[in-house]
Amino acid sequence: MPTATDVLRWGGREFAPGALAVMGIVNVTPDSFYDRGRHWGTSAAIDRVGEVLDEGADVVDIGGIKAAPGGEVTAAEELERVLPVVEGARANHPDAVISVDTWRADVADVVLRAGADVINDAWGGVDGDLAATVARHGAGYVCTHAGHQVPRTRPHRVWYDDIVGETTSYLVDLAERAVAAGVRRDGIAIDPAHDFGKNSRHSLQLTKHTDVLVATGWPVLMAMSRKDFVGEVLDLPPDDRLEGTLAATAVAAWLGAFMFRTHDVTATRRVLLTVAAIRGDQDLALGRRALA
Amino acid sequence: MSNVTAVGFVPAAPLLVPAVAGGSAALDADLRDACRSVVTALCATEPDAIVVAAGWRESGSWPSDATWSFDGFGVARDVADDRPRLPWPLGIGAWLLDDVGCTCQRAYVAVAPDASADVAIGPPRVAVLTVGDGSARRTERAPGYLDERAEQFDATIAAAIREGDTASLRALDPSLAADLMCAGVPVWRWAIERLGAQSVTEARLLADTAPYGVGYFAGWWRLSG
Repeated sequence: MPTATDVLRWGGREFAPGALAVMGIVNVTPDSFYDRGRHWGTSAAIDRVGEVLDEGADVVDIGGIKAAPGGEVTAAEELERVLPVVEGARANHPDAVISVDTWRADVADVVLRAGADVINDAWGGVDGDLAATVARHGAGYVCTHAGHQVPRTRPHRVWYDDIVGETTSYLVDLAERAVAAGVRRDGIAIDPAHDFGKNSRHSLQLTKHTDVLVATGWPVLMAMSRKDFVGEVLDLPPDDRLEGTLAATAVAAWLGAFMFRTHDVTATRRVLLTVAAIRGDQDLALGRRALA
Repeated sequence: MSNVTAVGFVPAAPLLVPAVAGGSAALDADLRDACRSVVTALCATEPDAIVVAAGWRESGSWPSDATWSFDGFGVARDVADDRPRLPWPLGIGAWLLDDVGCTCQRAYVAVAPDASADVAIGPPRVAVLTVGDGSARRTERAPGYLDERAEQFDATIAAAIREGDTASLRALDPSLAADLMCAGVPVWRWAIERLGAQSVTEARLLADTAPYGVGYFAGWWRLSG
């Protein structure tokens, strides 16, 4: 069974090789593709942080800008949205591992001061100062492959001679450059970023070959929740993509990915516990059947 | 310079190829049929060769036996041979010729963004099939998001194809085209420059549509001798 080779340390948590974990999504946006403003506003978002932690999320990932194109959200506006939620989450949940989804170094700097533990650089390293900022704070860092897309642009007729190879080498290079910039080696995870700079077949291939990413030795995070590649397999809208997402989650977990960024924490946890039990890494919660 | 018997217009949309579109291929059947009609119209002029031309990052040419591959879009082609593989926009044209059963001699020309393609076209009488489309910024759901200028820009293209208006098509602003993510302008300019003193004697616009926020056109021109 492929697994990452080293312990990942984020905030006060250690994620051992082979451990499975959930990153719960908290969007402080009025317009993200699935939740569409359900947790829009500081207090609603802080409440949502509590909910995803109660459901068993190991990490919360707070984001202030939807991925799709639309009206510009400046760094100041992004901070207006995200910072009070980070502060509130930290105050309410001193031990929680808090990640912030941003590509901007200046935003990262402020939220890390406010108590965030991890920066999820979901657009693949477009801000050359971000890694050094993360390093200064001793924080965790998610390296992603977004196919060289400008943030908040859609992929158009993207072609890869070797999607798995190109994504893997890009992520390894980004991770090594982060280390060179001073980021803790034990603070880095890699994410192939399904749908970002990719068509649905590319995302499916990356899922199928999760073991190639895992074989790099870097812990692999998968962000697949209700995305279009699931929707295009099933021809279903985001509301109806849970089962497809969970199928992809089970496959990727089996192949060695360790953390799953999701809108559906409880369901994802149940899938991961079952995968872990099949692998033999998780004992029964209840051992009665045919044993009485 | 060769004599051009006809110019065809088809989109550079990978989803035209059913194997790429997968289960949704039927949704674009009308557009695909219009493109087939374009190829049929070109063949009917009995050219010595069909020259497939498409925009690409650099100019180049490929021989008649070159073939398509869409594996970079994640679609494997179960063909093991040594034929040269075309850049994918030219591959769309090649696939279309195969699909129609066109047995004409072929040549393939990649046109750089500056509309250059330093390629000699050998046969005396050729039909040119241009693979390119309008703006990819027609709607908020479009690949390039909405640009308010896109609809008028594409309307100009549609009118030029429908009317056989070479001057209007050639006059499209390349930098505006780039802003609007319009893949067709360089290849259309290149094709029109091949016409020299020839004029359009008959023009048809068979499709003018943007179901996914990208302007798709299918049409053809017959040229004077």
